[in-house]
Amino acid sequence: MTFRIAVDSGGTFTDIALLDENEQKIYISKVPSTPENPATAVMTGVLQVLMENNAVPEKVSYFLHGTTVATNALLELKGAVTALITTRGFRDVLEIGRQTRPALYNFFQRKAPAIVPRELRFEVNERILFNSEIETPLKEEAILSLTAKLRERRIESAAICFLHSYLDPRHEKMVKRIIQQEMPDIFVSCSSEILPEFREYERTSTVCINAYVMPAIKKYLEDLEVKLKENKIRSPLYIMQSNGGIISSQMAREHSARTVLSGPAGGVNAGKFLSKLTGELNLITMDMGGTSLDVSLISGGQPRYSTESSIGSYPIKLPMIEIHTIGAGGGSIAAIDPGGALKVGPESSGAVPGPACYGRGGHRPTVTDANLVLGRINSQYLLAGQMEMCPENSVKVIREHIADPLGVSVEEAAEGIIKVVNANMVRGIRVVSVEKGYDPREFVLTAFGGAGPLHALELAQELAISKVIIPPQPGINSALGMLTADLRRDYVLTRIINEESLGPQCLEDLFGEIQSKALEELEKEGLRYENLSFCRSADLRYPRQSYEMNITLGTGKLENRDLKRMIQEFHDNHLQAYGYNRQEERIEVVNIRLTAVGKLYSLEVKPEKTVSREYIEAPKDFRKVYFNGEFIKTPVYNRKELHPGSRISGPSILEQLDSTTVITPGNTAWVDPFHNLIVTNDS
Amino acid sequence: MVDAVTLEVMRNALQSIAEEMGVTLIRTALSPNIKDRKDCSTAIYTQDGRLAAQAEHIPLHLGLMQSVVKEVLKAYPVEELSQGDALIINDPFISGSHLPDICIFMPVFYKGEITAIMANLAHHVDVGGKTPGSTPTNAASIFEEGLRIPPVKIMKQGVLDLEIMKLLSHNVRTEFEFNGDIRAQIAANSVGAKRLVELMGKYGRKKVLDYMEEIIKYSERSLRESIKTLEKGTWEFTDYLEGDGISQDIISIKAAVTVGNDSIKVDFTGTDQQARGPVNSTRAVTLACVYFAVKAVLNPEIPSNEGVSLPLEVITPPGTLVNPVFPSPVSNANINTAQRIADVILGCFAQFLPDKVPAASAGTMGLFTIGGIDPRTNEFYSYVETYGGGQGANIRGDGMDGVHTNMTNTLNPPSEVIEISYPLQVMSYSLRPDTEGPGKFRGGMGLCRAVKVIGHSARVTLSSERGNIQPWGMQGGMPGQNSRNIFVDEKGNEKVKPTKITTEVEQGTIIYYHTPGGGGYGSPLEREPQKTAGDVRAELVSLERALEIYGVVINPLTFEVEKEQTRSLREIMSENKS
Repeated sequence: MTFRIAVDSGGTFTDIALLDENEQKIYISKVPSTPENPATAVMTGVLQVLMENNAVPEKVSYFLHGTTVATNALLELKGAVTALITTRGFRDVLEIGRQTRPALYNFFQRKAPAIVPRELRFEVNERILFNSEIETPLKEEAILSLTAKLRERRIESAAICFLHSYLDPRHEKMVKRIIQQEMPDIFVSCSSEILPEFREYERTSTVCINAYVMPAIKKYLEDLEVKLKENKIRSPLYIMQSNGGIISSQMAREHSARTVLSGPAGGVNAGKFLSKLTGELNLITMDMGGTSLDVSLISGGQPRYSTESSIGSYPIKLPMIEIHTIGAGGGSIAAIDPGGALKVGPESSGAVPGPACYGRGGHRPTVTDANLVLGRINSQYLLAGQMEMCPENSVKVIREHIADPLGVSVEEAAEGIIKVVNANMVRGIRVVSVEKGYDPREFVLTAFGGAGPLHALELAQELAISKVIIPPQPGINSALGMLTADLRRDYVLTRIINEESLGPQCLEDLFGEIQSKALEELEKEGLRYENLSFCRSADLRYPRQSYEMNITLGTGKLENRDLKRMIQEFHDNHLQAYGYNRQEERIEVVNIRLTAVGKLYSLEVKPEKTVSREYIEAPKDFRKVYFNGEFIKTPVYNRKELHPGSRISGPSILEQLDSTTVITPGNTAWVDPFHNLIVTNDS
Repeated sequence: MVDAVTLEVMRNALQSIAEEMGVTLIRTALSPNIKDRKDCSTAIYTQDGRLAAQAEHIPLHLGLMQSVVKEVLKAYPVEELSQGDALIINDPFISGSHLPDICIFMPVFYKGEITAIMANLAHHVDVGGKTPGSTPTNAASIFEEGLRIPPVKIMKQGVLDLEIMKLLSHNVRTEFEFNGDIRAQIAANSVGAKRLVELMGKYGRKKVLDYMEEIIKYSERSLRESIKTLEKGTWEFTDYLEGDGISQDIISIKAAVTVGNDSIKVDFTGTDQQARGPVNSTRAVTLACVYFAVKAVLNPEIPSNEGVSLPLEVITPPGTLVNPVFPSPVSNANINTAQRIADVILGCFAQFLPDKVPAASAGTMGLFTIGGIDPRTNEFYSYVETYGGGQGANIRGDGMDGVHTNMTNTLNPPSEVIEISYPLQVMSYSLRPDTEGPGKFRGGMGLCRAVKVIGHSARVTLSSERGNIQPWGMQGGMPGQNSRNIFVDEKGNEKVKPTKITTEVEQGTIIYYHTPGGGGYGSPLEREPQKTAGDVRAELVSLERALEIYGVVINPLTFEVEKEQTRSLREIMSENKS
């Protein structure tokens, strides 16, 4: 009997999912996070879930972890003392960025500081041209005198980024080699290894972030590995990446920037798994917590990837699952502005003081307060009664700040808060759907996170989405999603080739080059995987455009017709995304990309037998819930007690430890064989 | 009935449509000005041409977008528009901008009835005229600046007029880009129209139109509320342009800001007559500067629409620099004059709201254009970029280094992209040390990009400002450093050039384009010595400057502040001052 464990360590809670491989049963646990050393909460939670389920640590065959260590080091600017080594004349590229200011009309809003300060950005004499010609060769002596300076400044980590190094990495590699010889304790990241792609600011930013978070990741992972060993867990440690795939902890120490969206990527994986389970190929996932909403889109069973992401305002051009975040959560604050409009968020009451109803000193109305006033949240039951609520606070702050100034009742005001936060979220969902050429009406909405299931049905109605799925454990969905992840490594190479010079052989050669590099790296990792597959794709554009579209190529040997198909697909996608194309125009290839995917394990969830679909459960309770201007006596169910096949019509409330689901009038929910709640519109 | 909730819901919906139009335009356009620099705006209007929602990328367009549709509708009444029509226009004496800004707009029909207008404005890389990029610094009339397009139907009932397209594209240097960009502009409007029709399908025509009115009223009301909190009175300020590109004569721009009960009057009477060279600012550009300054100082959050203009009365005497008459050249006003007009209005506000206004920023958008035949392809190319500079410091902190300020916020093209796309080599791209306006809070540093012309001779246009007059400081803060243009030829001969110049350069020439720093805020003797030490360590401020201007003594080996010496030096310096 062996077990698999996935741990998602977040800002407030650390979630653990334990899979019994023989029984194919999943057990969960949730413990408060320990931000000073996240490994503490990880171990507490893991040992707790093992003990609760009579599992011994020796039997853990697989340990996967989503971590926020890199994200926090970056957002809180607590990374390593990092140096940047770059081409003579270009040390300010990182600081100037794209020369824009963050807010058009606000004089006081500043750019985030460069993560490598100017005094630690060093220039060396070297120059590679746009056509890969070496105009100025790099001399060893130049680097040797530089290492002396690095030592003097007590550098912990070094990033190297030279102009056009994506065409020729030799200068960067030479610097790396010499630094490693001269200063073996220093971490070194080369832009040609981390991201061999053109556009120097984004590449510099990415390699600097990598260098900046590397030492923190290494220290954390080493510490965690020691703790795991001490507690007799012998499984290798795997890490969740922002691209939704897994890498070894060894690789995460070198390519640390790949872990910045570790947690949210787990949630999208859960969506992908749900898509497979339910056969719904097109899903929009929404993960709503206390301060923010993460939205993502799964089309044809696959998440969308982006290479234009940023964390805070720091761009990272590595492939990541496309996740759009907006400031809308349970803690988002509502206020009337001087023009008389009701605004909600992005300001949040945070974990402390939290919403007014938490009774911890919050004195401004939040989305959670509005949900409480409307009877959607149980004033007794939050986190199974572990948390005491003060509903009278909610009434007071909503009356004072919203209802009285607008001259409406407290309930009307609370409903207004919900409508406005919903409008904000609708706009967020439109960014990942309509703005990318996808019609939300062709998608199913799946909601998780503590607050997601409270709002999902109203959002679906706004977006004319006819089906909503709420997974069995919405509150720990990210950890569950990690159990389904594959091994995944992305490679990119910039080569600008116009349609006239494009042939199957020239692409085959380039793909061959990266594929052998990939095989070599995966070999080094020594992972156990089956069915290693390579997914090849290219970024295309019309000549002189500045944005590219990624088009997938088949796995077989490339023929002329494959190229023709690729080009036609680009024209078609352009039409779908932007409403027009230029069929008569030649295209150009800008980057070629290779993704290596290996199955580690596959998760099988067995369907349960459903009882009669007509069967209707008896509610555990009734309470008054406000819908469309009136309080309606609404049945309240315990989600745990619902069996596959149960059918519940709205209005009704479903409560569980980690979340509350609101079924609005006019909708019917059905529990599927996997305990998912499938909610459809009656009309 | 209007309610606060629907107002916010509808505003979100309309804003989201405008932004989707913007995404479509930027991601598919070919001109670097649009795709890289986002020098474009997309918007939704009421059927009588009042702006209801706008996706903004640069503040300059706030004023332009407000005037353009209204003006075109005067020439081309709404009754003459059918479904699927699109109008094109770039005439500054109608649209208000300069010739490279081409506006395309389309009526939106719902159930056979016209209900709204979608429009977008985008800066094309070239529209003909005497120099590549169509912003010659020495044009003497608008006819030298490029192709003038009056309002005409470029698309009739869904069919693009290829004859007109042929006629227009034949007159621009970069025909390929022109054709692609016009299509991208039409596509953006079509996407917007489609979404608005969907919105009306959901809420009904009347409700959507009613709330477009309410959103306008909301902005007006918000601005009036902010004005009510201000001290009443009149404040005047004058600032200067250094020549019009033809002559070096100083040009004065004068404004008087009068705060009333819930409205503000801005009177430009006393501003110089219109210039011979292309620095004349159409009334629409002048309005943009007023709207920007008022919104930035009073309430940055107000949605940008017609409502912003309603509490503001702006007097621009015809025939002056801020409201020129046909056929005066105007192409460089967007780049330099707009920044100066913003400075003048901010200068008025600074006198009674010193805690809300920063010291002067770089004061120019720093235009740098190189054009010629690319020897690698034998095709025409135009490299066009505007450069940021130092931001003015404010009461809370330092100005930012090397950013775009006030009326613009366009992105730079990456150096690698410049080298791939054009026969140019970027020699360096850096901040300019010692260019900040010293102060308790210092201004931002200017920028410098050095570009070498490779293997051909090229035509270069530089259009900048603040070459002699420095960006002003506030509350005892000192001014930022001047801009500076230097050409170094292949033999190493160095020549300093004027701020505005259009000229031919030989292959191998390196152009060093230096932009100004921002003004400081408060006395430099009050600056925290640690901060100056930080600037010295970063090699942004020299040891000598730290000593002589900030009165901070820094150990040249450790970069630590010598506290005692600093204190006594500062005492002496303040006594000398008073």
